[in-house]
Amino acid sequence: MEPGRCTQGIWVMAAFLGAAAIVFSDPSFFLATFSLVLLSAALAIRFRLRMHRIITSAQVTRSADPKVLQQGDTTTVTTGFSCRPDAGITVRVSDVLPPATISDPTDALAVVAANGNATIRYSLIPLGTGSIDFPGISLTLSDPFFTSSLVMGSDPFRGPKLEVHPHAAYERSDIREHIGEQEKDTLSICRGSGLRSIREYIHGDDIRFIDWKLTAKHDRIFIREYTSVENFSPLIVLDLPDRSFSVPDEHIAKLVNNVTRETANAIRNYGSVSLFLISGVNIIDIILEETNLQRCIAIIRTSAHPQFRLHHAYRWKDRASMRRFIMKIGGTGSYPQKDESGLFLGKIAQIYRKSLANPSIPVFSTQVRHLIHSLQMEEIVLYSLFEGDLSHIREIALQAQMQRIQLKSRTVAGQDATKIFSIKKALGKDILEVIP
Amino acid sequence: MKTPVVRILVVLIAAVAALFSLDQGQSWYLTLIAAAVFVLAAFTQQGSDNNRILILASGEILVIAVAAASLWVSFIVQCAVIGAVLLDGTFPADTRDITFFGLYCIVALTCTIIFDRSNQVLLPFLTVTAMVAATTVILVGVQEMRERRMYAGGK
Repeated sequence: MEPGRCTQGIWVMAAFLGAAAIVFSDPSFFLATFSLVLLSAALAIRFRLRMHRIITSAQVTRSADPKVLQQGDTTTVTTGFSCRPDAGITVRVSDVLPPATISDPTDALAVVAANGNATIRYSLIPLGTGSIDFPGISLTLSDPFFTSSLVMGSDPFRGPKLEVHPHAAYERSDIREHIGEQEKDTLSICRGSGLRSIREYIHGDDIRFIDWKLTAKHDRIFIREYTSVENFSPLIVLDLPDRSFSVPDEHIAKLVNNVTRETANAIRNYGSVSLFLISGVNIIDIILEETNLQRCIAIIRTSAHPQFRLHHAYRWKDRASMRRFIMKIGGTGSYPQKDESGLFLGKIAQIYRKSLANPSIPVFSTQVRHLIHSLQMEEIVLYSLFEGDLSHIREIALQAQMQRIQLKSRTVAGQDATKIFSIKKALGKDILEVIP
Repeated sequence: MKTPVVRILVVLIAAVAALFSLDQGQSWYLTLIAAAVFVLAAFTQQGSDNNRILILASGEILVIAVAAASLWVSFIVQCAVIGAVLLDGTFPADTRDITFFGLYCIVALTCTIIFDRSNQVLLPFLTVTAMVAATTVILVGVQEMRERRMYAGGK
């Protein structure tokens, strides 16, 4: 129990008056001093009695959704608190978090209303595994004179239990890329017992898998390669619109919500996710194989809004498309044409020929190629509003096609049908999912 | 903010008691000033910590000023000052506070009698103050320990 500002003031006054009483030896000073001491005592006992009434009437109901989850996943906790209200006392209630967990918000607490009820809602991320029990609640009671805290950890205030399963210990498959191994085991969260191959030690290998017999025989370190699950987390690309376009806020919000949901699903299903935030050919942010959902969400929240595009692609075409175009309009002999449309096509062909003669690869193209090469993935999920020039999206689609990676394009509903058609045409595929 | 009825009542009691003591004392002007300050403090900044401290401080000055005329009148003023703080707008809703106030008045009256009748005041003052402080610490401490044990949980 801690004294408040008022009580401290009373004590200071009592001390002064007490000193004066001893100096002057006057009964009135003694009476005043004793009155203040008695007042402090009365206030302390009254506070304790009020507190006792509140805590004996306290009831807690707590629910978690889901109760069974994977290590690192998020569960939503709702704690309801009720007690007999007391007008003179303010009650603050907060949940005591289980060890090795992170909550969002970190200091979730509620002030008990005049009817004696309070509700706390927060997200909880368990970092450890096993059975996790909620240890109880923490109450902080205060009146103008005293403050006291109490942790209520007895059975009625505990629970429910969360079952946290271990996160899959996925093996990085890129370490074997140069060896040429491509076998995959059936899905299992544990390392397999089957032996895939034996190879020489590479820096970073687990020393538990050293084959000591072969190592001793050849005087070089050999590693046993066990069969296991391979992790191919997706690459999520978020193409943000240029700030010069007037894009409805609800479209942006819907796009960001879907990217966040997709990110959470990817982390839950694959254990990690790669995020690529662009605005045209301008790269805003990249996160590779991130396992922390909170970090992903923080970056999406920070960066996912219309951006100023410093660089533009100016309807840039790749070399294969330019060659195809030249072949389509009839080669070099067709220029100059007499009619107007032919003249235009001929002019375009001339520009393309010049571009082909002086090859220059845009920086964005190189960056996308390096990114796709550096990651092991089976699909790219592209979210965009497809405003303005789509050269950069065409480039991503082309790189994905070259690497035989599936590209899923998604946009939000409420856009013009002709625009959707033109996007499908630009991407060269009919698969464009419109998010409702 | 609306001034609670209980505060108006206790301030009136204190003010009237102070005014009655005017003709008995020599320093009547000090009592008058202290009463005016107390009345002003009681009706400004309702419900704040500063206001409570101000009421107590001005009230205690009034108690000392009145005690120069009569210790028994100063006891009444003292009860009124403490009542202004202890009941603090809850009266008549919370009857437990009235019980507390009643107990306070009885204990304060007993001690006033002791201070008035004693040859020297310091020793009885130290004794009763120590008793009150020790009793409070024991009561509050035991209650706190019991509650912490009761709700600690066995795991």
